[in-house]
Amino acid sequence: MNGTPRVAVGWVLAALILSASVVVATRTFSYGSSSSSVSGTVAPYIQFVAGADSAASDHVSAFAIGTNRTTFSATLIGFGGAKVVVTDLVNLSNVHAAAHAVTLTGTQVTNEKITNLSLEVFNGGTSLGYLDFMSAAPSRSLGSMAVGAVYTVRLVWACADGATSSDATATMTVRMVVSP
Amino acid sequence: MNLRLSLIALFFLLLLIVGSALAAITVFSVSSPTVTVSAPFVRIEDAGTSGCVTTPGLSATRSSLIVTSTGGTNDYGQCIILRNTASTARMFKVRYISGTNEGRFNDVQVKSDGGTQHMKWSGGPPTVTETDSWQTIAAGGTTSINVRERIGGGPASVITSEIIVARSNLPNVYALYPLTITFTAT
Repeated sequence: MNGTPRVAVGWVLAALILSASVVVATRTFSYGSSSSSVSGTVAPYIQFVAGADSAASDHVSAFAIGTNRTTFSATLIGFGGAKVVVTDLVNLSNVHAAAHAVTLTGTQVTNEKITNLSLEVFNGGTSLGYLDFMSAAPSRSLGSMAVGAVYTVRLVWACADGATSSDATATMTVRMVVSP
Repeated sequence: MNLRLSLIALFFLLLLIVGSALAAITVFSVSSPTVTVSAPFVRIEDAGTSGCVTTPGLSATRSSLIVTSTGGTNDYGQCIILRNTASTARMFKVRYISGTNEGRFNDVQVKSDGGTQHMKWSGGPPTVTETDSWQTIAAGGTTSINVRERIGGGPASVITSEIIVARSNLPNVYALYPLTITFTAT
């Protein structure tokens, strides 16, 4: 009889430890347009900010940042047979009081008229690499983003000679994953 | 008492199961910018000058320029016309990418109202690889890329370059027009 309460107390302690372990081990945050349940309790650590070249110009139209600042949208305009460069399209900003690992992924663009489509991320003057939408599985780890860091994202895209809006229009998909 | 403790334990176990399930749900951030094509604001046209032939591509942004050398010094004048079809001014540069001239001295001039800029070759990669200032094309106006050759007659050479076109107040947002210049000997 004396041993039974000890067993029950043991169950309680075990459950508490396991619960705490799961909470710590699975602290990976992903933000999205549909992630209102997350943003309602945790402010997004890594946020998109409009770049200096995001204003309406020859090659950028209707640029907008999502309500929770974890998404952006725009129409990017190019010319057939030419390459377009937008040096400072959008920024990534770490507004949290801790560093976070950031990874960008995307889906492959298979339009044969589009010959080059990439986002290159810079930390100051240092390139952190491309997110190449021509590859089968676009992915780019940006490493640990320091407190207060701001990264610049540059767009480069090109299409074949003779390409038009009817055959060279595509949508990029950019996913951002933020980890502790 | 034992029953109460067991119920508490069961509660935390349920909490663990539910927490684990929630932690396994991943909601990705999805940004969806689109890319699309429009007609170029600045078009490449053939100037129709004797001694050089410009062949614009389908989109009027890609161009091949063939210069047929007769030896000596030749100033072919305007070989390429850049026409600004927009209602506001644009500006451009010419940038060297690759190619050598095998002992020849070729000089590609860029002329406009803003003055003359050069890319110069002397038996190898050019000593000046990019015109050093933007040249303006007025709204609805034209300017030209002129070609001058000195000491021709060597083997054929191919120079790969590009024309950079931007709006006057936004030099960091630009289009790159491919331009291949081929020098051939008669």
